[in-house]
Amino acid sequence: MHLYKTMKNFLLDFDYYIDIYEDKIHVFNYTDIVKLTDTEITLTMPSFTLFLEGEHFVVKRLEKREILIHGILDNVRFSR
Amino acid sequence: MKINHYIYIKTHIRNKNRILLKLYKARINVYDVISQKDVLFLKVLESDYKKIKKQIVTAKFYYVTDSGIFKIKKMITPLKIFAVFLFLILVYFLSHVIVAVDVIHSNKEIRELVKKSLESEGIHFLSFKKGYSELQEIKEKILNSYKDKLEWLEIESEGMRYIVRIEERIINHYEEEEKFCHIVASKSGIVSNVKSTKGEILVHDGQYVSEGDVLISGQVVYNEEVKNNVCASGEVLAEVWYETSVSLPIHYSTKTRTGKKRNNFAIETDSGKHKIFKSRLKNYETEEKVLFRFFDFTFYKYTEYEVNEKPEEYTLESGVEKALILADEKVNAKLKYPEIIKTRKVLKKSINDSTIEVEVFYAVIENITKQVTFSIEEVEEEGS
Repeated sequence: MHLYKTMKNFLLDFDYYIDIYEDKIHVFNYTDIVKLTDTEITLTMPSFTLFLEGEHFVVKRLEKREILIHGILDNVRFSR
Repeated sequence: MKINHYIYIKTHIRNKNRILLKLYKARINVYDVISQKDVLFLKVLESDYKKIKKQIVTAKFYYVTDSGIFKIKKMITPLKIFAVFLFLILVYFLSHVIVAVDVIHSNKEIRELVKKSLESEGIHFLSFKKGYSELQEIKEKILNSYKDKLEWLEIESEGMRYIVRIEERIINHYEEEEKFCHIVASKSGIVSNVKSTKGEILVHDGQYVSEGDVLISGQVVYNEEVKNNVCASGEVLAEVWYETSVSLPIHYSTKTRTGKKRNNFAIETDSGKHKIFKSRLKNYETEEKVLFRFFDFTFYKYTEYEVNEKPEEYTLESGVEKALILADEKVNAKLKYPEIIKTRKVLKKSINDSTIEVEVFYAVIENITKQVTFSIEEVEEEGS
């Protein structure tokens, strides 16, 4: 997944992207994790802060530039 | 290509997010997270494990298992390899060994006889199975040894058993009626050699005989009087003549091997032979070798030799030469020892657009004897 995403990012030249699936959230190229709980995750992105609210959040994969979260997403916000 | 060595580690902790944040701060990648009650399983690089233990002192980490190919590598121990190897040898042994030889026949004497013969040929309890040709040879040998007792014998392989089916030879001794016979010519020709074991020879070398002429008479005549009647026997060789024609296509192709070869494998089942890999050569000749047999399957090794096909054309001379070889084969196929081709001559040769036609005349030394029976009454009637 990492190789595929890195290649995709290289080809499409995105700074970041956020994929939202049925019960997964995949964030690529975040800069920092501000908050990490079962119901709330706050990530610093290159140009804004991303707020994820929901239930049963579980980090499934955690790397320097990407994070995969399992759980039920109720609300997504961001602020510049 | 370097393969990353991942391992699973576990830690007992209530707040798993805190641990994950600490790992993030320590710049350690986590490739899988499995949470079970108070236990957290993490998939990390093996090289990061020491770093985690050193940097995160608030929790204790334990090594659980390897991941991916390294897990398999750890599972494969020399003992396991040896066990698999031993198992394969055992399977091979069990599929090639005979635990019973069942001879099926109602006569105990015949059963014992065949069983003993098979034992002397190496077919007995705990002996190795024989190949097809070897079994055929053994069958022939036993049948030839007991010509008067055995009519037919078949050895079937069924799992780890050999089942031997026999047909007993029943000889009926009929009293043969006394018969009288002449040896007559089956074909017209010039006699070249006469051999007689019984009867009176009526022809000599160099004499022309027509079909049906008596060559060796069953009536022994002395002073123009029939002294005895016998069944004449003997052999009369005579020069007979044949004409044969051969038609040959002008265009043909010769195959030469380029030296390039590829190996392939095939498996033979009830439905025929099936190649395992696709042939990588365009034009090729195949040589096959049996690798091993496993129950009803036979495994072959194929060696495929690349060949170059070169189209060729016969001239009238080379075509006639080839046609003569084919004509000789055709005539020789009909001959039995001591019959031979005496002379041959090309009668006609012609070349068309696509074929060469050759007609050949043959003079052949051939056995022309044919036994014909006669009764004394018939001869007396003819005489009166």
